[in-house]
Amino acid sequence: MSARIRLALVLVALVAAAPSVFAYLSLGTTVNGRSVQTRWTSMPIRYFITNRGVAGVSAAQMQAAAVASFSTWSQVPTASLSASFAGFTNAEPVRDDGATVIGFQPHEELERTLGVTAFTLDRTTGTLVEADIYLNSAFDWSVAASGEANKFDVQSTLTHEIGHLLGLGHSLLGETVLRPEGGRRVTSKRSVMFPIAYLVGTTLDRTLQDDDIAGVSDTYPTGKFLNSTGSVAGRVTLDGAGVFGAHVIAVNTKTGQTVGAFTLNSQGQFTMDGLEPGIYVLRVEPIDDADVGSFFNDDAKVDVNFRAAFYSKLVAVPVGGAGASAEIKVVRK
Amino acid sequence: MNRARLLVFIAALPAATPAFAQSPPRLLLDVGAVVVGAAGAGSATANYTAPDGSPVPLFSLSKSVAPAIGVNTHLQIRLTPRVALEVTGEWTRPNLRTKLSGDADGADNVTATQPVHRFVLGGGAVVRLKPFGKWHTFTRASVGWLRELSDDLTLYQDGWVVQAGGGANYQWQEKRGHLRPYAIRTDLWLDIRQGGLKFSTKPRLFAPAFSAALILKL
Repeated sequence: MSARIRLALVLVALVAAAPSVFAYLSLGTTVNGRSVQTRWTSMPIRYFITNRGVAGVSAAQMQAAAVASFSTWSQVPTASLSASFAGFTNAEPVRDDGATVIGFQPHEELERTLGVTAFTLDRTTGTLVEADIYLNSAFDWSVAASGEANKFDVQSTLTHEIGHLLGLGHSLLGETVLRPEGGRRVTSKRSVMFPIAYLVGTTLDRTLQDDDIAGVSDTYPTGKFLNSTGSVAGRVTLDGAGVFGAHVIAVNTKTGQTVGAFTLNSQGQFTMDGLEPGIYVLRVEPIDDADVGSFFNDDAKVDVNFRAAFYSKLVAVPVGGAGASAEIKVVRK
Repeated sequence: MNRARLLVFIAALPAATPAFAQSPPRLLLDVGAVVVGAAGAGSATANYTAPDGSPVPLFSLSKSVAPAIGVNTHLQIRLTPRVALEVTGEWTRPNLRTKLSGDADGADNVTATQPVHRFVLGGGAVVRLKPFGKWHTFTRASVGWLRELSDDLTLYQDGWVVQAGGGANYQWQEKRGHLRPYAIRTDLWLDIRQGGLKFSTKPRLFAPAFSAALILKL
């Protein structure tokens, strides 16, 4: 157990959802000084459901929603993963017991957090060994097929949390506005993994978007994924210096496929995998539709003081590799 | 009865050539410059989704293929005094263009471009029409295989092209000797393209094209 580390990610639909859209971001950890992608190496992922429901949602209904959410991810044709329901349990989620548990928990103090995913990693390999999810029973929940007014959709929220369970971070593909009473409200988005949920009553997040599919495929790639998609790489610079934490979006000019990524070092370098071969538009923006902490550690020196900009060239993405490197120049606001 | 009429019609084609005082050489090769006109490639919007499921534009794309210049060549094999088969090769260097505007976060409008290489290899038929002095007019149609490559040559995608039009050859000397300049060929046609680099949101692109070439007798 001492070789394990535990981290909790408050990665769920914040009630006062805010905007921000971005391409997928894989979670990672550092093992012996090198960066390792956070992922499961053993399939199927076995999970338990806490044998306790809430008003309007029984444990059995929670289990059915979890099966549907896992199925949404495992049916991505370019990703290789599976999960199996191991049974109901009296164990609570977010307990370091070696079992992956999903259930409801009351957290009145988290007034803008719908759900939480917490991980246990093998410190020597970075491999996931346990991941628990709870949905905050302080909110009203629904499992109605088309959603229910004034209630959050269990399956939509679980689909987001299970994305974290699989090793995905947040996406910035979304737009938000500040709410007078605090927090943010989503006006639009294009990723289940956007950190802020739609309003109550919607079930749109049951369906994965391009960015989610690219992210899970990059984490658990099939041979088809590696042989049928390409990537784009480049830098974001301001006065010649790299910009850290810039959000880069690639939009396929033919199909509209939209995927995002962040610059992840001081040189401003980024890489986006899982793109359909074709011609792409690149656009860069600062993180201004969600909290920087939803994407990076608090001590990260993320630059958000620059204007959104397009790359002046169209970018070719070939199969199985990357085209010419792109340098996107931005200016201060 | 219908069959008999059809035979008569076909037979009449090669027979209706008394206006051509002389047949063109059996094999002709021409090499020249080509200009392919601009083509609109459609428009689109990069969208997010509102809570009610409706699309919300992030920015707009207006796409086109800029005019291109290049070289082309035809190898013509005469079947009858009026009819010839033709093999066509063409290389041009168009620019894919996308005007990006209406950004939700206020990014400046930009026209992003990507120069590409376009190759066409095709075959078709040429029918000579009535001559006017040293001008010999013709009409032609061809179908070709199309390959477009990105500027860095990492991405290629294929398609097809149909060309239909006509032109005139200006013949300034008699057909003496081989590999000698024989005439100048001018062509004007409509290019109908489908496929190639996946860029357009239109199923087919239409563009006018013009070429001028020097004809050699083989």
